[in-house]
Amino acid sequence: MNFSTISRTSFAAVASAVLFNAASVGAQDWTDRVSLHGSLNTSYGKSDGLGVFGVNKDGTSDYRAMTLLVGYKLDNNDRVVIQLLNRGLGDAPQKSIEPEIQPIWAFYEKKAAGYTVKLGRNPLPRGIFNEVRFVGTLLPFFRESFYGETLENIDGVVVSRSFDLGHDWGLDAHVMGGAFSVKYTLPSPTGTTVASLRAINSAASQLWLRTPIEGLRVGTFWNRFQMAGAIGDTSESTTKARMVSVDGDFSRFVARAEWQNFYAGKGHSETAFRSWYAQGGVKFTEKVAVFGEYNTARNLIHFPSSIPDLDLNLSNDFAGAVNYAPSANVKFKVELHQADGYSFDTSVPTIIPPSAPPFVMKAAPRSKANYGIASVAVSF
Amino acid sequence: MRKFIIALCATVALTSAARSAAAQEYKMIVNSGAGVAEISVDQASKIFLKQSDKFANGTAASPVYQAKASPVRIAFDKAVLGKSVAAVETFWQQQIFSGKDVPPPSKGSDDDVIAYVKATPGGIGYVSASASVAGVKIVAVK
Repeated sequence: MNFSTISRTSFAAVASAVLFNAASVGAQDWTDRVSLHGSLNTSYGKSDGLGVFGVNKDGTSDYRAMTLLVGYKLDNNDRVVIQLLNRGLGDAPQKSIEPEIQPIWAFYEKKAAGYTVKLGRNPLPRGIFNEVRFVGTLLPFFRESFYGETLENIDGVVVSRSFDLGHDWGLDAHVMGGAFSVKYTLPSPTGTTVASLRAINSAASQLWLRTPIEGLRVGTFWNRFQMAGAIGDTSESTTKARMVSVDGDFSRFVARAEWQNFYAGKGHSETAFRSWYAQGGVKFTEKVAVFGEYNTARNLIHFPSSIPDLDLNLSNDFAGAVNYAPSANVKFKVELHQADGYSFDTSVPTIIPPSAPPFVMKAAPRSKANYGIASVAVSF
Repeated sequence: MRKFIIALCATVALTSAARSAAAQEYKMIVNSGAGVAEISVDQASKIFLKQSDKFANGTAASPVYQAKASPVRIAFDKAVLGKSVAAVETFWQQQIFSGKDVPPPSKGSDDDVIAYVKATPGGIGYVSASASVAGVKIVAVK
């Protein structure tokens, strides 16, 4: 395991809090104080050609997310929580930098005067699914690729508070500061480069406005951070991220959409990434539901000198899924995806360089892949 | 059209009867020291979903659930929380796996719930309508 210094510090603080408290706790108390939860989201995936985040042409059953979550209540207002994660990523290039077991949470929580403060490695409130991205019983698809491999948790502090605005309106507010990891994938003609980088000096907020319509809320996320030692650039540059979410989860149907934007750099070295998805679903019964989703991402690429920018439609993914949940703790899913663009596990032609004036870069023909995933998720 | 209206009225009547029956299948109890005589459905719902941690009089509340499969849990979840047991479980999964909170403790029988409520300041739970509830206070649900 590759524990960072902050991660080790978080674990030491959590362990100390538990041990300090344990001496005064009786046997009966332990059962009410300790909470143990876990989830397994495991699948078989197969693509008809290019690999898409680990799902390859040969088919893979090494495709899963497994979590173990342990909580310990010090008293009614204080607790410590640790969550460990194991992932199977098939043939995904990210597999080479993914630890066998990684601590994704290790935080101390204090509730006081209506506020909740979390210190350590915290779940990061960001959009609809970020905190539960590995828990298959809560997801309509095996994985929500919209969230990428970044901004999953934050080493630092998260302060949360809910406000009753009256007339059935409410506001859930979170402000955060600290650092986090970014898993970076950069396909090139010579092979795919992957790296885990550190985002530092991060400040962020997530606001959720709850509406009088039960199940409908609207959210906005804002973040700024600096990348320490980005690929090909050892300087620190500020990145700004924004996200807008509409989450409608009603008794018979689901309608969701999220949009996000990452903007980094200054002057001619700036880059911009934008993506959004729309998702709809029908719950035929409490156990059976179908979902459809369209997910798309664009990347604005800058070139040196006077060559015009290229706004590349990086990826599109049409997906459909059938969910069968015999109980709240078990869910079976079958999903089919149709992907096109330039974001695959192996390098595909992206840009056609100009060979004559006026030297305008053009996007190469889009590559395509169809893939399917059959998965089962359990949680307790 | 007439048949449709009759069928609709019958459905509404049966649904109301079922809700009424469900409401009578449990009684809510609190710790005798909580100083609570009645509670609204909305307030009880907030306490059992841990969206509120206090009674109306400011006393800290400590809710306790019954086991998922128990008939009294099914009736209570529907009548007070307005959801099926599965929907309540999904709500708690969302809370657990987003790091927000964990559900109240769950007990396997009426006797265990009564013992918990009796021993816990601010304890609040629900038991079968036929359960003997000595040592705790029954609260009226408005």
